[in-house]
Amino acid sequence: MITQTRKLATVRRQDLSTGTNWGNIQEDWRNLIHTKLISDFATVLDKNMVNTLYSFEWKSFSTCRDTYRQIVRYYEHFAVVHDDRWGLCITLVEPELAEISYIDKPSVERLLNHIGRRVLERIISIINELSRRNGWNLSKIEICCVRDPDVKDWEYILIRLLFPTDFDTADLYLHDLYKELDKLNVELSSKERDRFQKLFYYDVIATAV
Amino acid sequence: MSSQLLYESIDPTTYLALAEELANRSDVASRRTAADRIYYAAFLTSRDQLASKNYLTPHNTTEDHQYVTETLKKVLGTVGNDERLLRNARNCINYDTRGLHRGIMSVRSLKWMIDTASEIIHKVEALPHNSSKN
Repeated sequence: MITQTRKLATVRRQDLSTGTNWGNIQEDWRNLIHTKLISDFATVLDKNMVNTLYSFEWKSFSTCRDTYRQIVRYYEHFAVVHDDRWGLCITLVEPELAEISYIDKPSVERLLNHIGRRVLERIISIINELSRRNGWNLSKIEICCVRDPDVKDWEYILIRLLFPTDFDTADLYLHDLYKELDKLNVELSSKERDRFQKLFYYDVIATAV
Repeated sequence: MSSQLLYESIDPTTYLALAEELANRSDVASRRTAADRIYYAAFLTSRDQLASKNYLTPHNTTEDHQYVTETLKKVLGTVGNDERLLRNARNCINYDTRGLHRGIMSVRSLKWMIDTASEIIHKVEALPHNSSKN
């Protein structure tokens, strides 16, 4: 936990696409780095602002070591991090989104009404966010309509995630997704929740057998 | 008129112990049969527990497969998805007599199936009685 009150680093922000150097970061942001946890600080950096370089110039590396490690860990999956003993540069990069592939899209569309479509968008957004945050390296999201072989009229949408990993790793990722889906279940409206629970199922394919 | 009892009532969780025994045998018929018993241990325990705790009224038809999965999703969230994955794996291992490789869709190892079924059973057994369903 970072508890020091003296200044640990100077933070500068630069827009790489235009070359604009915005100089020292705002004073309250600077305060954050030496008064709060790095998790608080990290939320201040705009993750959506790609091609932006944040540079940290340490005042004393030894006192910043824990902060430094946390910054690197936090950003490693969606940023390019350059570091040396005296400073750290973080370039936020465009996250690579997994390809979405529909198998028999008309059948999927037939099952989705406007509420189902909205729920599907939320689910895909959660998958992409998890993939980015946890460094999943997700290859593809396949969406298809499944008709149960035994139960008459039971049709649902299967969201299948393809991972270039072994099965055990892919299964762990699926359980990470479960945690987020169970949170989403609570957040949805009653009509959305009904579609979410009845319509959507999930599976993984591990391509590194 | 008295009728002869052909089959005693059964606690479906006992299928799991039988499945573990079958899974440890070397012949493929035993191992494929184990997949069937694992699924039915999870499905029948879920159906009976959900029914006795007032979460559903079984139809006692094949539609119960859908009914149980959807009720599990409603009551226990993504546990319902695991129950469906278990059923898909059971269908694949039981109906497809060709050699099944791990990369094939729906195919799961018996270890995964036993672990998943155990977890489902543990969770439905821990459910409280539902007093809100009419």
